[in-house]
Amino acid sequence: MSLRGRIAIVGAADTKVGVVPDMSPTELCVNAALLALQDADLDKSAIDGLITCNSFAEPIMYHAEAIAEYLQIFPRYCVTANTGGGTTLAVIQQAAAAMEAGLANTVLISMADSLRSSMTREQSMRTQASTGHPQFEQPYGLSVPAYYALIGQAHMAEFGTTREQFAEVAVSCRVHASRNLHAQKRELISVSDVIASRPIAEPLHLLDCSLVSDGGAALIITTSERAADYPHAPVYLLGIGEGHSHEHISQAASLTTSAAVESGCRAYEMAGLTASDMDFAQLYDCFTPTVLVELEDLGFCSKGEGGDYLQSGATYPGGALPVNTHGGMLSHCHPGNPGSMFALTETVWQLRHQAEERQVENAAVGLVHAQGGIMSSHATAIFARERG
Amino acid sequence: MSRVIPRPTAASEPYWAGCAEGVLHLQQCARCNHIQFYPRICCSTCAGNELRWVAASGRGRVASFTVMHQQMADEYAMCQVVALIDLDEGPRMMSHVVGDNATNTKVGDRVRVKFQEWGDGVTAPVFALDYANAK
Repeated sequence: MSLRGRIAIVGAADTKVGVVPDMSPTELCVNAALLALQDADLDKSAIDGLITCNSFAEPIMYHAEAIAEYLQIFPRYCVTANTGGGTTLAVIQQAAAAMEAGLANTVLISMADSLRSSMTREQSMRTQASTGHPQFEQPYGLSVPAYYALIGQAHMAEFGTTREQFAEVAVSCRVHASRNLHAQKRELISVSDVIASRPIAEPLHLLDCSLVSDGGAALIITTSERAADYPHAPVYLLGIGEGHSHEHISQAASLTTSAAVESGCRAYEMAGLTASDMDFAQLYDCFTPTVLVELEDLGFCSKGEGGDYLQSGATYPGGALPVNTHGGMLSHCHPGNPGSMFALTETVWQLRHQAEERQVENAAVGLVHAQGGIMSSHATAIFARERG
Repeated sequence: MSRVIPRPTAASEPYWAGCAEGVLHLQQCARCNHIQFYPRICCSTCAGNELRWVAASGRGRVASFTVMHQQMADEYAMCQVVALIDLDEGPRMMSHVVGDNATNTKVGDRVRVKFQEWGDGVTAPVFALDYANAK
């Protein structure tokens, strides 16, 4: 049995993102849910499955239950996903499986956080310091960018990749964001701006790093049979897969090839498609090297050629493979664990042809990739306008 | 915030005890001879549970590194060099590269272990560039 074409996204919404000091993480999560219900023209009582992720700024022990209580909905399938950047996609696979098994018919996925406005510097440092192995990594005092810097540096040493090539990721995300009225950062930047920005953890400088934001987004997913009853054209899931290689970067079998290879292969195989069939891709961009490695591992270019691929302009608007058409976490927003939810909502608007100024012409099929940990847990999904 | 102090478990205690004595200890599986890091209650290759401790040479090579421009606590150096070290015995570990020339670190550089007092009576391994054995 395959999940190909079995479920569809029928509702999608983002809250206001960027700096949103007047709403708590819980309120943002509920706000996203209400906006997605409105988009789907659905009464909240129809939700029988709920998936959320916890908030760093306002942790709640039973998060999904608290959101259900706030909304006064009473799902029969209720999960607080174990956060991490890859969760947003992995939960779609879980929701699809749950619906196939008859555990739910209409699942709301809502995720939000307020890293920008609700966390103190101390809280933020503690969260960063808790990344890594408590005995064998944390004592060495790495920030989150420092872990990813190890990947960037290894790629530079092995393949001759340059900082200028990494910078192309930040610049192209910013060009996409400049066309998105909702993006947190819209002013154009150049490769030399990225190179000259403040060093954080070499080779990563400030503009190689994603934003710190407030915001949330939500999706409503149902079975393909039910999807026709909704006001907007359904966005069908054609393929999905996960790949898991390690938790701690010091235990990774490779610093330059990730389990995106496995998650991508599983998603392509289920969809019966390849990288060259994709009209756009939304790739997890916590730091610029992440996108370069994902482009290689997902088969958009060969291993070691990510730098040349980026400099070819392929990822820019109008390029062969527009990447992060909303601006990504580097320019649109990054409220932590919910970060790649916005890659999913953007995918919905691209495939509904509602992406306004940033619409990819005739977009019919797109890929979304997310990863969590330090290039640890990967999930890839392929969505399309047609059920296939 | 202060520097993170590692908290040994029963499985890792001989490793930390070795550090206090100036010896880098690694676990070796009695069944398949695999040498592993970090210390575990089983062999990460064959899942065997008979593990012995062997003294490592303390020599290795930089697999990757970063120079940090953000101090996570006052005890860490400005421009701290954090590195992944491939030990000559096989395993990879996270550590610091220390010394006056640490910021000259390159991927592939030879390094040699040193031990530093970390706090609360714990001693942790760090590495220095080993020009004598450069190749």
